[in-house]
Amino acid sequence: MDQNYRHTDISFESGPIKLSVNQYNKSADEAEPTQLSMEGFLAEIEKRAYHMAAFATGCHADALDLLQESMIKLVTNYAERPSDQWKPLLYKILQNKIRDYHRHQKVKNLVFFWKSNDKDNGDEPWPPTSAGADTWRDTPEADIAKSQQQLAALEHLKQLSDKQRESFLLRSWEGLSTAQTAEIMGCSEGSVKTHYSRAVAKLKSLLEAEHDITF
Amino acid sequence: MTLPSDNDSGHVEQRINQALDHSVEQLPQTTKDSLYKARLTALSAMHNKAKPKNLSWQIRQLIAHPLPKVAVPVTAALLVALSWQYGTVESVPQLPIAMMSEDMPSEDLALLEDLEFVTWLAQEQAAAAL
Repeated sequence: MDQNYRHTDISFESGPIKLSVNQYNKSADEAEPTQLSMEGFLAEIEKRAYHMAAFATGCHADALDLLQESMIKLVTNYAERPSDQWKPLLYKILQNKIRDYHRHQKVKNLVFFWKSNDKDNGDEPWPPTSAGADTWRDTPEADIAKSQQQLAALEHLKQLSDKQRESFLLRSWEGLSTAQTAEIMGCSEGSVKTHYSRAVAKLKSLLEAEHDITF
Repeated sequence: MTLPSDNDSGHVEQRINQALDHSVEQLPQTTKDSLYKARLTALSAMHNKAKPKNLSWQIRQLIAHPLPKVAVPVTAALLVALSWQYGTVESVPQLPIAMMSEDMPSEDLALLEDLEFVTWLAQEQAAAAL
């Protein structure tokens, strides 16, 4: 009887402890993959997102700032969302930040109109010029021509309008759908298709003019 | 406007995308380090948000909120003004004497005068007896 009582007592005591351990482990298991996958997601997308911001701002430091602010907003406000929504959300936040950046630049240029608009304040220009890109300068001689062609292709991309470049990068490079691109850019799907088509046409003409060839 | 054909678009896209991918692969180490720091900053912000906040932090947040920032001083000023006003105003206003003498019946007034006289007389007698 005493043993039974003890046994009952022990099993009663160990129950909640085990349950609480299980609950702790469960919540830890649930939290860890979310955290890890968010970190993995950011690690995967940060370079591409940086390129988008850098193309839009033309400045390395500003692009980094915008990207960091966007990532902070994503992880603090939308980390609970399903992971397949993170990519369009990050790009949406980034595009909003870029729009705000351009507005601030416009006001800044109006207020300080006597100052030069050139970015000669020590920031690295974007895209890097062939003379300024150390990593590309170190490539073997056989690949130099190819590297220069790729730099030229990036320069062509810079010649597009903001909307055309956004639509091209999101649709073609990131592989987002027209609907997702429209949501990110804050315009209709028809506008996205128009911007994208014009972007491709302009890039084609620029590439043809560069190499004196037709596609 | 002539739209590019699918084949042409494919070539152009392929070429530009290759250049972009190459640019991503060839990012300078300093840029990679900066991106890594930015990512760590963002993730630490996520951890800070997830941390449970203590009572003092919550009170500070409440005070820092714009609405209490304005509402608390305004309410305090109103309370002080109201309490000062109540302190200075007499609770029972005096009746005007003119109204009393006019409205009071003459018999009552005579009786009141007699009562006052009798009271004074009694006090005088008591004083004389002492």
